[in-house]
Amino acid sequence: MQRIGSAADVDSQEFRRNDLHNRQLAAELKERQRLARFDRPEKDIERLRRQNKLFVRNRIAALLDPETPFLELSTLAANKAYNGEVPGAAQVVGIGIVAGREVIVHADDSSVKSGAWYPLSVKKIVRALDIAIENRLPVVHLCDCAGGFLPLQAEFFADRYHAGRILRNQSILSRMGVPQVAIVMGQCTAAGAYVPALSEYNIVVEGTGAIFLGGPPVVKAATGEQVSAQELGGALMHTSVSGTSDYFATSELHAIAIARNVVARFHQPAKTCIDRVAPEPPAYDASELYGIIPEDARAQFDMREIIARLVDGSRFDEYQPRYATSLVCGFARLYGYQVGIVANNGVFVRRQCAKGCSFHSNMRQKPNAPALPAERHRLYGWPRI
Amino acid sequence: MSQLPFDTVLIANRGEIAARIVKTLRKLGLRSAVAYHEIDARTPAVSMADLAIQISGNTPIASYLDTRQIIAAADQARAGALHPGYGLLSENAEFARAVTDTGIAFIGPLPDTIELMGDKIRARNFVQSNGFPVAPCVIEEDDPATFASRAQAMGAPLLVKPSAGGGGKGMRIVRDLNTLEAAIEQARSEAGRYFGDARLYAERHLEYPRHIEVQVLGDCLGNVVHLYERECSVQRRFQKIIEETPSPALSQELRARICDTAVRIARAANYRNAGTVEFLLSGDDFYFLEMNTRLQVEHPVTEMITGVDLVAEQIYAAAGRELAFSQSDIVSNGHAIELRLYAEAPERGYAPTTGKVLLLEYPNDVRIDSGIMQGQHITPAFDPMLAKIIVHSSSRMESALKAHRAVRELVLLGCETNANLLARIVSDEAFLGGHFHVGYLEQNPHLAAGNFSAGMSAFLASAALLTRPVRDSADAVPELHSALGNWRN
Amino acid sequence: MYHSFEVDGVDHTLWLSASRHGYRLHLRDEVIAPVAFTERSDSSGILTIAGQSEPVRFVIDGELIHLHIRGRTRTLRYIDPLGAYAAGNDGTCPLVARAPMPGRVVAITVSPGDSVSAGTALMMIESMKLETIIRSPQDGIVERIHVKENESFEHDAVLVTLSKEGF
Repeated sequence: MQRIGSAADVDSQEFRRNDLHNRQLAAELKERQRLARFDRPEKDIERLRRQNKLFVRNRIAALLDPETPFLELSTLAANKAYNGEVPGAAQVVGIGIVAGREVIVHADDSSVKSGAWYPLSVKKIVRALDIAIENRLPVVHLCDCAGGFLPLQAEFFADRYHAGRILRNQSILSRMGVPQVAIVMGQCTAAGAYVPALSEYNIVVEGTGAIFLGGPPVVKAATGEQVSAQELGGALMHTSVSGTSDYFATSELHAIAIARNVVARFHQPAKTCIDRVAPEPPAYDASELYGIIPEDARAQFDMREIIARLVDGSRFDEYQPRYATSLVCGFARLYGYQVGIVANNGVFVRRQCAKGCSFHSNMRQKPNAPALPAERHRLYGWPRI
Repeated sequence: MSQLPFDTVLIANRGEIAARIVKTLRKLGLRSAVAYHEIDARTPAVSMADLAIQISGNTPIASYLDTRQIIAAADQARAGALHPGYGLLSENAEFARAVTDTGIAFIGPLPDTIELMGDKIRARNFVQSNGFPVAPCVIEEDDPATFASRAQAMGAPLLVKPSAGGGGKGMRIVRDLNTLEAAIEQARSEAGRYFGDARLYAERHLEYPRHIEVQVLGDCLGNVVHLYERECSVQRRFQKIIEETPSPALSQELRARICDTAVRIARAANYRNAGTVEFLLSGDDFYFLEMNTRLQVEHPVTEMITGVDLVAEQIYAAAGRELAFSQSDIVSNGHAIELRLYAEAPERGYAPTTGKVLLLEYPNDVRIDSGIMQGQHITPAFDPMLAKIIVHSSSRMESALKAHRAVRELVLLGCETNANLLARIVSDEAFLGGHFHVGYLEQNPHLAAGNFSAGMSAFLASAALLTRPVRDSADAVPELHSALGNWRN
Repeated sequence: MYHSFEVDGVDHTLWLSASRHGYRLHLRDEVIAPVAFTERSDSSGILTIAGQSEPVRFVIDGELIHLHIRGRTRTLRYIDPLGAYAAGNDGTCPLVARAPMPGRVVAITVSPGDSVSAGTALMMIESMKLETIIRSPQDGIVERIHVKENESFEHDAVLVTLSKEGF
């Protein structure tokens, strides 16, 4: 494979202008993510402390294997919705590693509106579970949700993509034999009660965790009976009387240790044998991407300059380099994996379409690069024209 | 040489000293018998001895102090002689009499000598009346009502000690006279419990003298020789932990003077058998501390430099033989150091430790007097000393190096010991320079504390790699994820 | 969730990760790689750490790992997170006075039902040659005395259980 020769002039004024602009954009993204993740009123942090609860990020940090990646999804969900008062839609979801297994982590963020579900929270959870289904990923639910945000309850159940979908997705995972474990770290009321109940395993934290369809006020209203949350659906009740829950935990960390232990027993499917070699950094500095992508979104640039800064050794084996040149197709290695790359490099009309189709079908037949991984790791680059 | 009048010796002791005595008995062609408590069934002495006789009691220690059972064991073994070792019954005159009365030879001095030297106040008066130097002191018995005020008048610092005592038990240093009353009460309570004798005396406490002792040997014909001195100043709580000979503190002239004084004290006491005269040395002045009428823990260093087997000499003396050598025959050769391995944690204020000896490996080419073996439980029932490492070389510096290497090569897993402290001391500058005194460890707390984090990563790495859950969790992570590490978007 | 080993009362957290060239050891403030351990026998092995080889003698006794490296002996205790976190944070755990060292009871100075305050002498123990007073860790009522006079006990044994006043 040939190394791509870069024509970028890193000393040019244009490069520097782009670099500055794009770094500002990246910094703004990072800052918005930081705020969505960590910026909370002191009273909410104080309330968690009083309740003896860990902040959701610390719960996830304790859950995950140290020194492994966590790919967080939908980081800016509900970014400006609800007057910007519900950062991340009060949810943290992502793909992380627990006891060596790739799992979807779904955690209610009770530092935001006590973890109440908003319509966009539901959407974020449904999406995470869709990914779990598509990729056969076990799920760890860290449940600490105050229930649906009632002023918006009309948007919760009416549609097939609303909250019922969460329970449906959980059931599909079960049918597929993909296990879920839920830790009950707060009160799981109403629809929230189904999340631990529909998980293969659930753990309740003594004192703070509870599961019931209707809480003590509902019981009082219905039967006149005075009952505490713990008596009604606490750790002791559900692990020793109802059998709804499997494990009793004395603290959140204890519950997380139990959950890690449960996940460690999950079947670890053998990975498909894929074509992979030792990874190699690109020959060009990836940070130069900031200077290459134009400030003006309409400006044209050579997509090969991007590929050169992404792929191993900047080596790229181009397909049909002389035909329909405004669509760049070819093979490269990304972090050691063989991948096919399809990149739009200008106008896209009939010829480009034919080239793309034929590259795609060739990739499927490539004897040494199994069709699935090549397809799975297909990379599309679309310049904004 | 005439045949010994007995062919079997009962050892009324335990631990390393019992095993060490068995070795000499074997060398002399004598049968060895040990009396042991059940708790010691799995110890070197019991496995090495020709005969082991079980004794029992309310506590393990009580059984070793039970005269009746010990004498019965000697009878059962048909022992003609009894070796009391050190500690336990070794300085109990009544016991020595009871043994002698049953026609068994007591390997030690005459009971009267034990009695004289065992009473620290009588011993002190005896030595003083014979014209030898002693420290200023006040004795409670002289006038119990005024004891505290007389002690007060002598001034601080002073040392309150039980008259019947030894080995640091019940001793209290008083630096602030306001604490004198409390110290007297505590010392009295401990003295009563340990020795059944609550009498006390108080003596001038020399801040930071050296502890020098002289090994003497006498026969029943009145011949007394010395086998040079031992330097025992490296102590913690009045307990010696490292001893050596020759002392780096003595000039030839001072050595001759102190050894000669020891011989004359022993001769005045008509001393028979092996004994030790202890002195405190401050500058060029020394005064009599006490005389131990038994084998000392640290006797091996003397054996190393003189080539004399002190246990064999004790047996010959008890058998009535004349000393086979005169003073001029005893030549000091090279330098020897003994390290006492204790079951204790110097890092935690010398708290005693317990456990089971899971792995035990001793260094080669040094002398080890060991009281433990693999599989043995270390209990708090006895003194925490486990073993002694004795090295001998041509010079002090070489001995220190050898001791350092030996203590680092010693592997004892399953019970925490003071090995790290011993290694730190024998490589410490002050120790190597010979500049130390009985307050050395107290003044250098860093030696006991150690460097907690030194080399920790090697321990953590080994523990991590040897612990299945740790290794399993590493192996469970797919290689790609572990290569990406702590990546976050 | 990091692994944790206790050494002389201090917890050390760590994580081990695998790489193509052996294991990496992640400590609180450094990463050491590669590290490897080759077992030679039941009780000896070679530790390779940052390119240096060290002979190691070891015995594993349950959660305890006894090690002898470079002339130094230490015992490390693997803290099983399931057990450790289960025990912690348990509000109903009674107050106890534990033995700071192995020893023997000399005299007991309180009886069950006695009201004690923090620092009240509960008993005198004797270990080797030292007498130590065991004092109450907190205010409370003596609920139970677990040892008798003259009885021996091990390090960390529970000597006295206390309950909170008016509890």
